[in-house]
Amino acid sequence: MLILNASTTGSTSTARHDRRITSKVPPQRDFSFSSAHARLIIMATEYAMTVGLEIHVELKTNTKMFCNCLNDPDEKRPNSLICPVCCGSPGTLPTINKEAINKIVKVGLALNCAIARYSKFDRKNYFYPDLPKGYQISQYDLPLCFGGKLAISPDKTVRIERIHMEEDAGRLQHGNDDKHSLVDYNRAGVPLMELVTKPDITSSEQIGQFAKELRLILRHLGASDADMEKGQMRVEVNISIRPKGAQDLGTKVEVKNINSISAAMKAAEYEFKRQVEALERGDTIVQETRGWDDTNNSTYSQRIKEGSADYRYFPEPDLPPLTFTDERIAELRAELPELPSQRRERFMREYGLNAAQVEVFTTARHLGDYFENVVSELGLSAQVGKPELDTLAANYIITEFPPLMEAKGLEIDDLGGLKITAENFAELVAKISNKELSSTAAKTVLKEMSETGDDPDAIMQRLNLGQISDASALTDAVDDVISTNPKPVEQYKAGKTEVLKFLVGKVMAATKGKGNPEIIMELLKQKLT
Amino acid sequence: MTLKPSPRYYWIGIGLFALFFLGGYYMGGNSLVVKHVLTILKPFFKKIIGDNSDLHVLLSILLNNTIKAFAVVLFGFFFWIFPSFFVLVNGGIVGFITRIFLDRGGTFLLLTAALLPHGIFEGAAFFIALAYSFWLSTRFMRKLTHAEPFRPYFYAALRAYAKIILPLLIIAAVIETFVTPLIMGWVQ
Repeated sequence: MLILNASTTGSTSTARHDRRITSKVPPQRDFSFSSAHARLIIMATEYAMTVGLEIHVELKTNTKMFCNCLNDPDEKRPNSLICPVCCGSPGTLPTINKEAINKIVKVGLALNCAIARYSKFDRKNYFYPDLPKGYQISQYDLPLCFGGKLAISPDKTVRIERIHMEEDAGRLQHGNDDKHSLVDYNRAGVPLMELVTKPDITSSEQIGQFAKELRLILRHLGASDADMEKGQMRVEVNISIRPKGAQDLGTKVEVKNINSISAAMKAAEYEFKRQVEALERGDTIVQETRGWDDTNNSTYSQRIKEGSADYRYFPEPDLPPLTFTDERIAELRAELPELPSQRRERFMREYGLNAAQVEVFTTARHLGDYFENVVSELGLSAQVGKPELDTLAANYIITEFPPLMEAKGLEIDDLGGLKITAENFAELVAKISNKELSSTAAKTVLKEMSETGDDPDAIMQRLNLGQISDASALTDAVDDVISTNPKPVEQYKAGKTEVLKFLVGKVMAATKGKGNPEIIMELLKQKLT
Repeated sequence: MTLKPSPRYYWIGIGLFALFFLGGYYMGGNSLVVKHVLTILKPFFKKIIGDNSDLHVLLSILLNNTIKAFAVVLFGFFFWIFPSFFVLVNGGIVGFITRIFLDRGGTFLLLTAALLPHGIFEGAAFFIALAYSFWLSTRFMRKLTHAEPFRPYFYAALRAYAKIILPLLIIAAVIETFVTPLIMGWVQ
């Protein structure tokens, strides 16, 4: 409720009086609505974004979904991976790719979905040149997986409505002269998983989080490389807006042609803004399919959205239904690898790594596996029970390996090309930890290891890089620096302690970086007091 | 001598509120008016919601409402002008907000959750203050036309403010600050 004073609307004498009285009210209350009214009006006039995602993922299988043609996304020769089955020649019959079915079920299990005990394929009828059969084999009312969820942050979970199996269409290439188009059916019939989320996403950031986490899971499962730039994962954003206080969802607009996660986020932001402006102008939102224009960072109307009736779905007569027993599902569940969320939790628990380090080792899985091998080697070399070694190893892998790999033109998962075995690297980490090597020298040794594949001992010997930690061996250099730098010495004695670092640096230079800085600092302190 | 307003003064307040509520509700359906009014008001609303602490909100609501209610009672004697204007603005705004909220998809349940819990107490305080205000106005005219005493009525109104209206406003402010947001959250 409210008690609203006339001072907000008029200039009567009483209002003036009241303004004087209320001058002691805190500034944000100078307008005298009660907070409940403020909340109501904000809820009525500010808009919330509601997003559901449809994500198509090409599965990584040996052959296509319903024939024996190879499923090779890297094949560049057009129409070289086709056969009468995937081209829909009359008289041909499809057969179901078991590998694809197993993979999609595993994805469903990884996403906490229920697996249908009985499922079937349906024909989705539409005409388009990239669809050689004139219909697409898909699933309509009985998807393989349904009712899952994916946690994208500690406080946000997105529900998954369904995951179903279908076949991909071919690829069209339109000529510049508007007179002809080229079609490549290599992709036609490739196993395609479609995942549909509930409209639980409320921001563009959450779109990014969901897509990245899903991609990570797909890669961990080996279900797909999910490379969006290659079209292996295609995100469609179904977005609607509504006033924050409204219960019913607004009109849904589907945005397609999105080729990266960041583009999906940008598309949602653009659409949100466009729809808010339209409603504020008094226009209505039309249910339609829009395309994403990456060049102009905007969407454009493509077509009015079809309903499912337009596709005239009916059960696929050439394929048998699919049935799953509890035992079969249990077998597939047992084959699931460690999932990203499990890996994060384990890396934190077992190695005491921080969230950022864990994220690197989860996303760049090969680096994580390598790290675990190094930790294992450190354990074998009786360094067990030293968690700081794990952290040290993690830091060096995360900060030093990527530049070394980049310099050699290696991909992040091509650790073999780096020539640094886990055993040698563990030895290096132990030496750094034991102060046999300074950090500067360690980098030199690491670089040499990546070039030659030699072990650290051999390199240290060859380059004469061992760290000098023997105080007696450093005394001469320390004495020399004290005698040749009288001014800093005087300043230190006068209480300017930061000068000590300068003197340490001088001794380090004198020992060509081999002196142990901690020992040097101790020696300097002893001699200057 | 009865030193409290008769029921008709309450009915006058309630009736005027209902009338201006309907007026506000009607105006809330005019998109041009809505657009214009919201342009002015929305920044204030956002500032009110802001990042203030619960205690800050509580004190702000309480201070605001107690001062306004006191002003209604205090200036009521002056020929109905202040209470009438007060009920016009308040009734109009509640109607206006109700219309906008419902027109934009807000549910009646959520609206009720936002207004009812504290509104029971604040509304009661509001209508009691109005009744005393109209009553004092009548008494003041009687003083001018019939030379009847006015001071006892005035003191009675101040006592009612201290003993009834103020406690109701305190309860309302506490509920609005701590309970209403929870209920709105549940309903949403």
